[in-house]
Amino acid sequence: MSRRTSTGSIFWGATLVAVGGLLLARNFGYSIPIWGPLARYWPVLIIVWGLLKLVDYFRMRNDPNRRPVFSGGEVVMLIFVILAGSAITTAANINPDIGQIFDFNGNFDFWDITGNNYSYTEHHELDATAGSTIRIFNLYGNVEIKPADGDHIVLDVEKIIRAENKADADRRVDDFTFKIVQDGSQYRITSNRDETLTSGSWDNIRVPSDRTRYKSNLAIKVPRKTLLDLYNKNGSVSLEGLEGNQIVVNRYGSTSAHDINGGLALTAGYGSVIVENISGDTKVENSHASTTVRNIGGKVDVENRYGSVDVQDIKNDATIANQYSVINVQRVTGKLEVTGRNNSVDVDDIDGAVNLTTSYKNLNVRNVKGGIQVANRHGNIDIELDQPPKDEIRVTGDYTDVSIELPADAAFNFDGQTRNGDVDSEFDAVATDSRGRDRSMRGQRGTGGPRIGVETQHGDIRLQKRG
Amino acid sequence: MLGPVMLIVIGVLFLLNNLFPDEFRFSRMWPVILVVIGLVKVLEYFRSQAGKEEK
Repeated sequence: MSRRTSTGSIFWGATLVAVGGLLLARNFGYSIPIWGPLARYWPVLIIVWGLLKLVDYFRMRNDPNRRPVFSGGEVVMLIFVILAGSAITTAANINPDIGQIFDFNGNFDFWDITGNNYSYTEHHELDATAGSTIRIFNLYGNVEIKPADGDHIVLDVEKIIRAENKADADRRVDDFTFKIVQDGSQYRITSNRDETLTSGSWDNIRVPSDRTRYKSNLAIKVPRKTLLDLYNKNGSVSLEGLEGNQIVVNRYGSTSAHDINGGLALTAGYGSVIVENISGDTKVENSHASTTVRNIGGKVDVENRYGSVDVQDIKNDATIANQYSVINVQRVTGKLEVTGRNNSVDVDDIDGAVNLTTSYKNLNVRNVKGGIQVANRHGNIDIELDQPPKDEIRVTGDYTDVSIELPADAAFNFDGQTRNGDVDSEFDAVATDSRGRDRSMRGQRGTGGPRIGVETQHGDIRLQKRG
Repeated sequence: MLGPVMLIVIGVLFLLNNLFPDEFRFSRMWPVILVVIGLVKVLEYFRSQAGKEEK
């Protein structure tokens, strides 16, 4: 009898034809996004495979000489698909340089590695009024901004062109020139290829597909008193020694900004950010890379995802949010608000009140002089104070062990309860009590101290003497 | 029947992991695999019971 063939071979055949066809179409110049959707939707392959297997199973259920539903080879295949799929997804999420390949609007041509690089230089100078806005737009390459000796703009460009040969590059470089344009009280620095891109808003920039052949590193000197409005897409950005409020966007690459007498608004991504010695308000947005903010005079607002956040020496209030990576904060003079998610939070030496939340990791608080409000889910909370508390402490948790360490001479009114856990106090004035599985500890120690309220569901509460 | 169902479940879990990484991470959802294995076993048991009664 003829053995009924399984659907599996059809499935893999069809998949190969589809993938091969798409890659072929790409090589013939059709811009079909493959990697982005693949990074996201590869598990659909497994689902379809499973559905076909289910069909096989029901078709062949009553076939006396049926083969086992799975062969060893198919198990290996499954593991391979999962590993490769996970790798591609991780690469799309994390790797800064590969990330842009998976960008649906991205134009980074991953497979076009043919051609050679030829480099050229350009030099421009223009006298400029101090205190003007200077808009700088660059797509592929680095931007470095430094203060000039006087009131003028000095622009040095290193252009790198990918071309078949020198003659081709020479032809292309003629159509890739930079200039400094004065437009009323504003100055603009951009290449002729990007002028149309930069006329409108810089929020949603679509880059022509052959633009990746042209890279440009800009070294710019500007009057010390300058308001920058800088956009860079792929590359590192650094600025230093300026006076005034600076606006910087750097989509893919590392960014450093230091010694600025004024404010800073920085939007970055996929590259580490270091911001130091800023006198004014500082707002930093980053993702997928570490963010360090140090020595800031104004208000600080940091938002990051998938990268660590370190904040130190803030002479004002600070608001910090991060997900999936650590938050460390030290020495804040004003109030501190931290919103974590799936990350550990470490806070040390805060003069103002703190309001901290996170989940799944531990939350450690040391030496806060103002009121303390902390909440954690599925992670522990540790509070250590060298000075007696003056303001209310409020601690909320669920699967959370809470440990509070206070100086031996602290005065406070403690009120703690847990639904399922142990309670323990080294202060005699705080008595523990158990009713059923509920445990509580209450007591007034000394006079005039603040209230300390602790509420957790499944975890221990420990009140200890410091030292 | 377990094999094909497992493929579908694994596929769905990875898809959820990719589309909603905050809510449905694979590291969080994987026990669903155990639940489904259990369900299929229970289902197969009841089906074989029903088969015996018919005979």
